[in-house]
Amino acid sequence: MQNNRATWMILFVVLLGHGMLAAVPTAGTARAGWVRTLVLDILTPVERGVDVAVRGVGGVWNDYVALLDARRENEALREEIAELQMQMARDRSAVQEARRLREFYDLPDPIAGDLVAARVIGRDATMSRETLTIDKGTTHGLEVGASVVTPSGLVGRVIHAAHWSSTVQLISDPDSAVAVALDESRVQGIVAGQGNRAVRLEHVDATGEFDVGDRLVTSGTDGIYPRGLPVGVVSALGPVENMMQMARVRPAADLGRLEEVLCLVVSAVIGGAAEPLSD
Amino acid sequence: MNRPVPPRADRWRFLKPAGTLLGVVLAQGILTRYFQLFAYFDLPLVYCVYHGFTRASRGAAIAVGSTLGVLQDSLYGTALGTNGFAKTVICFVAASTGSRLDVDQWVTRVLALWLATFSDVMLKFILGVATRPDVLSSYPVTPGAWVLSAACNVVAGMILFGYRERSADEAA
Repeated sequence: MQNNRATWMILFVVLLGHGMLAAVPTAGTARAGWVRTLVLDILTPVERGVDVAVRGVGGVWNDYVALLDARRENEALREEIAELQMQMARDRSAVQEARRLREFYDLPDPIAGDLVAARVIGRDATMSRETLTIDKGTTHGLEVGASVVTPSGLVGRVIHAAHWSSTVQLISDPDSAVAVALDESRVQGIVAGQGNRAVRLEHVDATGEFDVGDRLVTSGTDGIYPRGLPVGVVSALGPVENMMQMARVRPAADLGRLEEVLCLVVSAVIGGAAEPLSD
Repeated sequence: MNRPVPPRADRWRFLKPAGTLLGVVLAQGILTRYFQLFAYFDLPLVYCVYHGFTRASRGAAIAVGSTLGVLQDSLYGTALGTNGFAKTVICFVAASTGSRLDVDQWVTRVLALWLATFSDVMLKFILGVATRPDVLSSYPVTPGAWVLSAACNVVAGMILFGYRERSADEAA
């Protein structure tokens, strides 16, 4: 009987503890941040080891077996490089002009800071969350709030940084919201995560005009992401609710097949400093 | 007065369960990294039901459910306490009912795994309503995804129970 009562008491205390942690997420994160760091520091070497082993096996296949189309692919890539070099030469003068104007008007660089390349070594396991584990942490200069990108576009931001690994919240996470602007018209809106690698454009004023195929970039007004990072393309128009338009968006980065990502170590944002955010 | 020194095997007896719990959470993360279908599985939840039914110690069930939940929350960036709360309740209930039900019947196991999946979602939902109503509007899990997740968990659970029985038969 005594034993039974003690078990119930332990259960009550444990549940109360978990409930309190969940109820006060900001304080919980601040006080219990060491728990996340400890768990990530213990598990990261194993995840990294598995990643290395899988890459080793995949490397044998890619380096010896899957080279049958290499010559044709090589020629196509050479042509693409030539086209891109011409494009780059044209863009270079535009960049120099923009830099001169920025210096003239004393404007800060919209994306200041270094890029750190990281490998994805883990992925969130549940349906309701959209996070990744990457193999770079505070020892590599990463901090909470750092933007994570691929050459194609925005991936998300670091929500917890351990010593040798970090947790990245994808833009498709239900708790994620990114302030965006349409590339051409500069109409403002929010790209909200929907789970299952889907995102949606929301809070666009009913008077703002846009169409399928329009590109979205970060506006920098949320104080989280630097301005000008590609976010996605409008793929379908949605209904108008409460004088606000919605649309389905195809993310610029392929969120389902991320292997390597780039992290902006210092994210300076025009119109407000990027502050570390709690989850 | 000297304390009796436990035998070497006893001193390290906590390593096996600790390694198992870490392995379950790691397996979930690593498998989901390479096979997206595993996003529908919840291996820590399956292990909670398995542990509750096979060990039937309620004290241990609290520890196992709580540890698995905290590991899951820590590794995947969820608010700390969310999975800890749900997994503790489920593991405790499994251990409490395991001694009263015929858990060797496959129907019982299937129903338990199915119910555990729905309970996990509902407990997190209730905790969300109670603690963070602002997050509630973005709760993304659709009924179709629940059913698929429950089916996946049942498959994983039955494989685990089957493996245990086979090992027991071979040992006998």
